[in-house]
Amino acid sequence: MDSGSSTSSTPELFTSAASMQLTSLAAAVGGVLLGVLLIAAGTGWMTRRRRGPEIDSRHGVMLSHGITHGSAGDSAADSAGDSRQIAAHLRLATASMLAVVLLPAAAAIRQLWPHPDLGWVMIASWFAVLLPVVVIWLVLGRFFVAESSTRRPPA
Amino acid sequence: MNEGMPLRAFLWGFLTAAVLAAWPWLLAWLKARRCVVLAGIDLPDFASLGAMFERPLRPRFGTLLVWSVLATAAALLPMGNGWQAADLDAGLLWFIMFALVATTVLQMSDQGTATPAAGGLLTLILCLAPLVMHTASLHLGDLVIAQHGGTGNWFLIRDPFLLLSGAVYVLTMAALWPDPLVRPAASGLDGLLATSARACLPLVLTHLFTVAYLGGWWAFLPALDGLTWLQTVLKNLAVMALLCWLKRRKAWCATGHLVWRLPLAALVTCLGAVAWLVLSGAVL
Repeated sequence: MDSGSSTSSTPELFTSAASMQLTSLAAAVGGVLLGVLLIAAGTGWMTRRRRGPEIDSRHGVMLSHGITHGSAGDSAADSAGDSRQIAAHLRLATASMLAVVLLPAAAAIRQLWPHPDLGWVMIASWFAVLLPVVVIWLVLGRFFVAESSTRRPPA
Repeated sequence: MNEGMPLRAFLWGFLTAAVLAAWPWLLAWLKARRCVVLAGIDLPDFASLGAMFERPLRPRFGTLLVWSVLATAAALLPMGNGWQAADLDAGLLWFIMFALVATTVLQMSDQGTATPAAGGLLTLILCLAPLVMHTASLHLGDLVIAQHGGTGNWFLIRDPFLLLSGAVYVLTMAALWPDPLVRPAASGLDGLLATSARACLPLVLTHLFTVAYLGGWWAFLPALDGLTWLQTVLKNLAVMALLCWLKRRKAWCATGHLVWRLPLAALVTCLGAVAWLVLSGAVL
């Protein structure tokens, strides 16, 4: 993979190899999305074939139009777990933000400006970043286990 | 690089999506045939998959996201030399990013917390770190090429710490394997994609294990190299069989191990592997 070398003296900021790789990645995502679209079409077709244009008495909607509404029981169950779900969504949002911001940034930096030598620099930087994260993680993990083992369910 | 690359990547992505969509049906077929390897494991069957077509429930954003990123991650893994959607210089980093999103959302829907997913992925990263140092590259193809020359060169048995980190990786995969269906009411495209993602996550992580530890597309004897995709498929199936055996031992692959036991084990093996690497003079 000749992404860093260039015959001219001016280094390229965004090499053609890197841009081709990213284009390929985008094309792969496009292929996956086309697959999802075809699966959706196939599932819709199978559902219509099985049930036909009948009215679902439980939901009171025309199933052949692909419209659904949750039942009253579902809604009650949903609202009962609302507070827990909000906390879960916040944690998910935090994790997603980390995933969405940090890792692509690291991947993009590595992709566009590949380091010519991944020897000691790689080891040092890897551990400088990873070791504190691991230690904090383990401490928090111990705390999490201790806390959840002492917590009692409400009567 | 030639100009046909994006088109090939598009087709490869589509093909990967098709394979992942078919995987739960293959598992259901094997279960119906009473396959011994799958005995005692909670897997989707034809009845549960068929029930997905009873109600046309539209997919939620999270389900679509999980399935799409998992399929994209799978498309990045090489089946042979250059047989992948996109031959990325930092392919391992991209793969980890996609796997992080998929695993986090799946574990969140199961456990209500991202802790096991984050612990599991931290463990996987610690297991893969020594391999990155061995190859001095984040390119997935380079990981495989560095293992050319038969079984003796596979990272799994190259040094004792890598063997241990491989074992930790497999245990983590087993612990990250989600149950087939969380919501009994799941139906329609949403349920189908959720079931597929749950069934395919161990398969995708298994493929990475094959690439990173088991020589990827190389045969166990150099004389038998060739039919690269077949070598990869056979190794993937063998690791999946091992994973199924582990999955039956509930105490070994409990999700709770992902909080600190497995990350700690991975950290110890990672430090050991790096010490071995430095002392043996492989990294200067």
